[in-house]
Amino acid sequence: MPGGGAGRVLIGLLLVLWFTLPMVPVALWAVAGRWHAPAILPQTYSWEGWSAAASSGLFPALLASALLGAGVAVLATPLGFLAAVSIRRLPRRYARPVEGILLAPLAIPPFALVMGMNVVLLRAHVPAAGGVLLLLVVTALPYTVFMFRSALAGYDDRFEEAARSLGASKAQSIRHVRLPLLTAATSRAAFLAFLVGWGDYIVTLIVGGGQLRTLPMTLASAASATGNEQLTAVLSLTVVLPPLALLTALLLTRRHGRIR
Amino acid sequence: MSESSATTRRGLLLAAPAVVPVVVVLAGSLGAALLQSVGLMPFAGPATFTLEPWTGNAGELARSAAVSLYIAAASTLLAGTVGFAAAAYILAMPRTGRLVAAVSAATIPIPHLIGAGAVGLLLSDAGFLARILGMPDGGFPTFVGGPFWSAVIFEYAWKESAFVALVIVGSLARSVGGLCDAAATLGAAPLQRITHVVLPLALPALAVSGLIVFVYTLGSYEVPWLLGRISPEALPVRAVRLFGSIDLDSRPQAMVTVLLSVLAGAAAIIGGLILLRRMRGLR
Amino acid sequence: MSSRLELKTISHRYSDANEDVLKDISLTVEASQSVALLGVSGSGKSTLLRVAAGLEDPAAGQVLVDGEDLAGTPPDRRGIALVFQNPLLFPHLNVVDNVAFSARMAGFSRRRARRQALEYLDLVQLEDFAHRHPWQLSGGQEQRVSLARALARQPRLLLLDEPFSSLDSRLREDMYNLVSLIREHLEPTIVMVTHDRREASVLADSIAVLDTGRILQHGSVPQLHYRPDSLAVSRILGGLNEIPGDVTGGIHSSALGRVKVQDTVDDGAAFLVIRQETVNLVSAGTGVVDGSIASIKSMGAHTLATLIIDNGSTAKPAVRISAEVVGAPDLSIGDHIGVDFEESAAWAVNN
Repeated sequence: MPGGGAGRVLIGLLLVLWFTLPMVPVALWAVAGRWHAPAILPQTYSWEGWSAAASSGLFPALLASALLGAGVAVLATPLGFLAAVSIRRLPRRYARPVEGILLAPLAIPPFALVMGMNVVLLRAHVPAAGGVLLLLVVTALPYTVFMFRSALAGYDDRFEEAARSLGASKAQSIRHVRLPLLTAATSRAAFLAFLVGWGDYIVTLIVGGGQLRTLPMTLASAASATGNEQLTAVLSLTVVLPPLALLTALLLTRRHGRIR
Repeated sequence: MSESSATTRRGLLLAAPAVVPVVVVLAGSLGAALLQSVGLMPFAGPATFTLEPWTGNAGELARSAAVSLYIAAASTLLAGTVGFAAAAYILAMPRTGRLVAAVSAATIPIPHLIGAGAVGLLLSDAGFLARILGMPDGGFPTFVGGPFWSAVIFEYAWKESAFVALVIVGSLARSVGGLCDAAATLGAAPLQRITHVVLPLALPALAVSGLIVFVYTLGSYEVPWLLGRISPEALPVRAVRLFGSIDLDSRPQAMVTVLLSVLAGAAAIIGGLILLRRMRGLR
Repeated sequence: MSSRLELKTISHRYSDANEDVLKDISLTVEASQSVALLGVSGSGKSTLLRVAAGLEDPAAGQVLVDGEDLAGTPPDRRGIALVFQNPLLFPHLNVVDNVAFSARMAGFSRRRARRQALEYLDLVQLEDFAHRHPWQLSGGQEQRVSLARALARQPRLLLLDEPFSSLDSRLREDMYNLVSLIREHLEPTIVMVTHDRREASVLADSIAVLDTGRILQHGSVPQLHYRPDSLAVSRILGGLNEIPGDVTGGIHSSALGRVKVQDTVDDGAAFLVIRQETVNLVSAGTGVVDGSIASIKSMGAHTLATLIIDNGSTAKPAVRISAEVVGAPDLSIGDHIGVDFEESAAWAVNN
């Protein structure tokens, strides 16, 4: 629709400000040297925060978080896919409870799951890393199941029937029709599952028992103490930027790969 | 008949690798929490049934629950309002809306822990906002750790408004353009198009996302821990503090807090679903 | 409800396109008249309606209603109702509240708005469906409600953007009758867009032919069929006969011989365009020219026969002439036969 006066532009700017403002001090502190109140902008700029982060274990933490995220994604994505296929195939009276169970972890606060489960894991002698992975996969499953559920709901079996009528074998129609059509949902599901592991704090804190030094653990100890603004900011950016880069890359490759 | 039962069995087998861990974790955690909360699964010593942990600190527990409900309600209200406004803007303004859509989408993958740290840098006494407004010492209201939990609510509203906007835009993007054009040619002014077309169409998506936000904020630990006050505590903060306490007697009380949070969440979901069903019935 | 619409030298281009979708368009629609914009998809006809309704700002030109320039007037204050191809009923409102929408927007009470809406539902014969929801209606009913909703706005102008194109042929006939009824009762000024020349002929007093953003010709229905300005107009209106030749002093010379055409045509190369419906089949030697039948196509109650003219002319490619005749004449391919037409039916165009 035409039009769009100054008022509408102003509302847009306010909304942009709302979504970006909280990250502005983070970006500034990450490169600030000296920045004492009441100065609005840093008085000097430096990489102090980054060297402080490097010496307080940034790289092993980065690796630990990446491994945890990848582990959750690798497990929760195929499990979510299988479960979504099963829900689609099962008769309603089985499909409903299966779906209900798989979505239930959303309804229970993560700290509740972890604190209750902790003693069970200890008594079963499950290693800390295994316990963390189990709990995070259970937390991520509702997202991956939901992603594949909605992708399969919009998926028309007639695509594969059309392929078969055009001479494709069953295997060919899966390879050349079903898989390409489900790629977008798979990457979305894997991305969400990765985020669950990458950004987790409470599960690692309680079940990991301090053995797993992930990025959020390092960040939380920096953020809860005072006078660590540079370190907090640098660690925040190292948590936030990789997924954003991944997301942008995903969106870009999808746009290029799409044939319309 | 036998063929269909074979497909059912195959279907259930397909779901098993996902269902089994979920059932183990749900049953294990809730069962262990329940047993611990009544003294039947002590950390050390003999198991004896007691309701002491449930009744002992009822007043403190109630205050924690009230704080959590207040934070969740205020955050949901604010996130819903801003999220709807952002969605309406994204849907109505094709060009400038794209920028709003991009920055709100970029907000979503930020973990709440990082969001809380960022809001701390923004809203603390000598934080970024206080400096911009030129009142770093004195005069700037206590948002972080303040009496109204403003920094906590702001953090939730900020992150979750992006989520609400995403859900609404996703559910309306296809239909709303043509309907707004039709409304305009029928004499609906821009504001009327928002109140009489976009809002009623967005209501189901708004209600569902609002319910998700409410349940999430009710049970989230990191934000009230970093930005909230020490007393009274939000339910998750209280549970984690008692859990980590050296005093082993606090473990059952931690579990009571856990179960109370689960119950509050479940009640919110049931209430929300009943409300949603009524809303659909009205249509 | 009836105003005069004047579009003056309107041009428009979409931001992502590299060609103007409308090029310098001028069109006048007198009060209570019905004009059809006829063209293929992509000719810019829907865009022209959106510009008139205020949903698009034109890059240049003016929209005048009763002489008032509407530049800067938003769509909701133009008093121009648009019925879309998709009925676009509001899914959160039932049928009567959809029709009452414009009155509610104007600030009337719900009761008054509904009472008025019922009158319009009565007009489209759907008063019994007032409390249904849009998803409980059939396609034809949805489009009727959409029409009632637009009329309830009591618009100065009614714009119809291919509103019947998704309906089957019987429902479409019903809708044509409904539009005629509405024209009798309310005498609205109507501008409609269609790609169907029959629909345009049935519903409109005059037709404006649009092609790649330009109006090629605007005239009465018979004028466009029998006296087109150009080959393009003749083709868009379904004319099949285009016989090449030359005009000198109002006489067209071609494989058909010398045929008297209108005197207004310029001397020089010209095509003789004769509607196939005005061509008759006669026995060989008794008509204007003879030929042999190259194809026979049944059109239902009519038959279309195409002849290759064989009067010794060596024109390449061979000159063909088509005749649409009533019934199914007893003919077969290769038959030698004559064609005839009235002198008044002959019409020539220079390009």
